[in-house]
Amino acid sequence: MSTQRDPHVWLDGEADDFEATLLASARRDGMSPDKKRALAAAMVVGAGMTATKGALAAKAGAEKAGLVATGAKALVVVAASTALFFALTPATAPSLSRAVPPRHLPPPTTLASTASPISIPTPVAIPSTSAAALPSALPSALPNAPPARPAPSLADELRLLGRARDALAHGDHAAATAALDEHARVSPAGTFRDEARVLRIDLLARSGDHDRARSQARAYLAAHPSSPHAPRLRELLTSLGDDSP
Amino acid sequence: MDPREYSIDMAPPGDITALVEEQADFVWRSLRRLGVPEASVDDAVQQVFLVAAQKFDRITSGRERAFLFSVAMNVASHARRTLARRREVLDGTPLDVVDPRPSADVELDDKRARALLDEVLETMPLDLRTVFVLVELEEMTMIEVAEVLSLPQGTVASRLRRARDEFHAAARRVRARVERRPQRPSTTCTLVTGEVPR
Repeated sequence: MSTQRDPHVWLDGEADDFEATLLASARRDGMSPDKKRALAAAMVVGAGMTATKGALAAKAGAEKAGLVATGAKALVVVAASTALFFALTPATAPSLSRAVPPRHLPPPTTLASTASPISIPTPVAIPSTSAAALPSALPSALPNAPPARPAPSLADELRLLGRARDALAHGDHAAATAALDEHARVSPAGTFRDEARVLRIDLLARSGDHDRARSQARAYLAAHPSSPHAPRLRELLTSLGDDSP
Repeated sequence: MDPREYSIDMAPPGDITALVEEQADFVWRSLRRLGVPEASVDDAVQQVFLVAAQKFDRITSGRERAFLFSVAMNVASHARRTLARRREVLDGTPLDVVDPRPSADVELDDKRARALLDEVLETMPLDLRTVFVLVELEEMTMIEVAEVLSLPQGTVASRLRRARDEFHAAARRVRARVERRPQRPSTTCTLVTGEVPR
């Protein structure tokens, strides 16, 4: 959209300079690129659990009002995804050099290091940050990877997780498993590995392996009680009939 | 396993991210100009897109903005009610207000200009404000606005006329106050109209 317009057009040609300035300032307003990318990421990896809750509740015949009613469901997702969104939008956006953490450093515990200048995936083609543009943060001596393997971009990660989520939504568990496996293979210490873990728990639950889903959800919550994903995992546990905190 | 049992009303990831990419600025601006405070707008934008993701199959191609704006109006209405309650609790103390007075060099940068604009818009009834925002700031035609708001075109035209009148009046009041600087009364207000990076 154009951000400039002939000042004479403002207010049907009757705007004075002051009014034109106020109106023009609003035209230039908008969401910062970092926040937009974070929002896109949150939409991809943060919305999937809605399906899990609804599906599991329906499957178990335990359609508790607060879980399955569309409005309440949306609110839960809003709350969870909002937490994710703000985890994705730190006050100071990190540079691209932080996007792929060095192997020897502790991995990030939240998505706070994801607001890097990547391209938002599109339905047609997922634009990716050039691997060559990424810092050589991964050391060459990875135990299970070729020494010169290029670091996957955040967009690559999002593409894989989006594929997994989409497959889950359509009940294609094999495709979801393949996408998550590929994510684990190409990006074992990826920025979105927590999201991959949550999607894996989602996959277990949908596949009927409720014991492992419960076990892994509990383990995740024990390790990350304040994670942005914690509310959704607690909801999942509730849906699976686990009321433990 | 029956896939329908696990299907959901949720947009495919690529579709929703494309929608975010294309329309996030529009949604952001709409929410801000409809009165959502800056501190709440990130949350509000995401609420809009979450609704869009859940109702994606109901969004007609080419009418994405109409859908998003209708959701944004609801979200903004809720945010404004929440803000009003907070203000009541704080006994009328305004929240999230940027001091709109010019700084020492009396330049109006974009942020200050937007604060003044929001102050002007805040004086307008919501029905007029909505039409004004869509026409003057989002460059929609009156025909498009009539479609977005499900109003007759005559009603849109009438509201736009009244909105412009109210805008002129409120802008005059705000400008007079801005130029009435208590510490440096002789200084005139300089308007910066060039492109300012976000």
